[in-house]
Amino acid sequence: MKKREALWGWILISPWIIGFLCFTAGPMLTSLYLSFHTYDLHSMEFVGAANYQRLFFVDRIFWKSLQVTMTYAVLSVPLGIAASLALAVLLNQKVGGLKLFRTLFYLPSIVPGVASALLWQWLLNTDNGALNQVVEWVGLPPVDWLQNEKFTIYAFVLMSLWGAGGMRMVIFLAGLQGISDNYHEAAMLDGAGAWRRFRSVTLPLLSPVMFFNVVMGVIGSFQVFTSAYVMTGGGPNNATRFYALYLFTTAFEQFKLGKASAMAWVLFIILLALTGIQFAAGKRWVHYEGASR
Amino acid sequence: MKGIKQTLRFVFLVAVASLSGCMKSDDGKIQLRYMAWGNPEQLELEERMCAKFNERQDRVHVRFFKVPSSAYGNKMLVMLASHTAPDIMRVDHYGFPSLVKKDYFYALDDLIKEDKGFSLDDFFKSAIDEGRYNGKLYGLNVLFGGPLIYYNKTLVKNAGLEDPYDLFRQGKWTWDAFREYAIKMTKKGSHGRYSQFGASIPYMPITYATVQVRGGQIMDPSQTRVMLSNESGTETWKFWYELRHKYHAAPTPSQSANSVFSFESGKLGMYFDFMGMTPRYRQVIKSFDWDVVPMPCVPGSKYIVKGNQLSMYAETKHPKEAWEFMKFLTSPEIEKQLAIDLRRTFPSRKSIAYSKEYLKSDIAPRHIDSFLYTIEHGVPFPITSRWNDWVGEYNSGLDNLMSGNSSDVKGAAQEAKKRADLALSTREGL
Repeated sequence: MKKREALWGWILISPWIIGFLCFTAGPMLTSLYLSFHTYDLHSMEFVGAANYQRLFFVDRIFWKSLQVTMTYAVLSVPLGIAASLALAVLLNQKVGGLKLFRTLFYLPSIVPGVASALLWQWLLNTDNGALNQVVEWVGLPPVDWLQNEKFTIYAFVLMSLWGAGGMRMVIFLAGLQGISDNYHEAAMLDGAGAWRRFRSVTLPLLSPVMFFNVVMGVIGSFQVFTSAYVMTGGGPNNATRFYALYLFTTAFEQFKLGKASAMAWVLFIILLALTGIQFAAGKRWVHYEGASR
Repeated sequence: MKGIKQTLRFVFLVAVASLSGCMKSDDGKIQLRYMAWGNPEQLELEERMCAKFNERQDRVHVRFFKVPSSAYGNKMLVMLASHTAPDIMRVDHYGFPSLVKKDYFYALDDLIKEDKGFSLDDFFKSAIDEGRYNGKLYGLNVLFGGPLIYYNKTLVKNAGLEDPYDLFRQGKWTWDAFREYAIKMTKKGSHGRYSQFGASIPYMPITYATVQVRGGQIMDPSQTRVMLSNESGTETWKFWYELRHKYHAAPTPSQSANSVFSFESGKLGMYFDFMGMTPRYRQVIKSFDWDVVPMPCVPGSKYIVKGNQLSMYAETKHPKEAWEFMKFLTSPEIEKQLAIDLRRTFPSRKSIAYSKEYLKSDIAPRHIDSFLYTIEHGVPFPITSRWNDWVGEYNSGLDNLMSGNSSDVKGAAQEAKKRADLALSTREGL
């Protein structure tokens, strides 16, 4: 009977196992194999570590794309987390029309990537864009957001805040609603004000949720593609050549699939390292209720 | 256990039944597949041409396989690599050199030699040269042409200027004249913003063509080194930089966003593009008069020409039948229909291009000889299999100059060359 149950278990789980082997593990191992070859869909040649060597020691754009992506991550992740948390706190208040507000703030995150990129292209236009109208209204000269390499990364960071009301905010909201009112009441009885309660009660209890959002945010910031592909194509002067965009053009415009595979593995190692660092650092600031330290 | 076996048998039968449903029986004719891309009008036209061919065939049937433009290159490459490519396909010349060197296409020389009713003599030499690789012919040219200037006759007239075509005929159509025209046609509106521009800076790689017609070179004769930053090239970049940022006679990318100053908007005096834009302009431009004129060209320099190659898959099982279809698509009958009756394309055949019927047009553009002049004085675009490796690199070096964030023309040209040379110095594929 046990054997029969086990067999059924394997049969029922087999779609996932087959899917994982064919569509995740298989391609991953294939890309590792390809990263030591040149491959253009036609011919394959073993080149040892030449793809990696070229990336690290010859390829100027590889380093540029890493720099662009890292800068974006450093700016957009903290700002995005802060914006999402602020929205979640606001939407956690007991005020009228809350469902409408929640829907409105969530809406931008369901707009297709290409549509929002086109919308932002218009908003950031130097001559007619809405953002520059505000800039000019406060007496500053118009900013060439998408044509001047000094400003492009800030334009993309600004644009990333557009999605602050999305899934990250929903997760924060769920976390906030999971914090018992008892803690706040006890803090109030001890004379804690609103800010003190937020800093000493809400934030520590929300830290596991925040940790999750930071980890996912960092990973997400390394995957910026659609907006850069649509709005700037990586320019000007590679100032928006995000890592994922460079990987895509290497693989599907230049058809250097060996080099692109090497890039994918470098990205994997970087994200693995960053996530590991975050887990190590998380021990200092993430508080799990009931956990012993 | 029995239950499991029955379940697996059922799943297997369902899979077999589903797969067999995908197979399609034919009517006994040899089935050929032809693949191309284009706008809806172009695709409808090609569909009609396939139908016309099929009507005349007892043994062969051609099925037209349409692929969206944006996915065409990748789709074709994957089909070629996976040995599932169609028998005949249209290949953009930007991708042709890298594909032909992988032996994906059928050499047509023997088929042509055996076919007494077919001769290459009627085709423009540059059209045929584009399809050659290592001395063999792998493609016949279709949608052939070169870049030239579309100009808004109404704006030219309103600015009190002589028609550029008349200047061209008088030998006075120079780059200085072009700049003067661009400046004089540029206007500001009452709100202080530009309401009309005299010209737009051509998109890459037509800008490369402007280096060549101003006396420079795109690549060296061995096609291994980029020559765009030599003296003439640097002068050309300076010309475009000044037109946009000193004379303000060409819109910046942000000014021209959302097609505000597209040629069809009527707010742009002169626009560079290939000859293939004429059907679209004829269709959408109703509010002003327009025509075409060759680019100014310094004596001794050459224009650029480029087309699409109609190529046969190297592994086709029916090369003779595929050749019949290729012959049909490039026949005088079809070229006449496309170039004269429908006025959609420039013909690859000289007999059509030099015919009175083609050269006299009652609809815009009327200066058809501008096309002919560009072809007669043109050489194929020096596109190699390394094209994608260096073009992006070169262009990125010019970005800051063209966007006005730098005025160091020489520095930008040298930086662009350094980047392109570095890309070309690396082994292909790495």
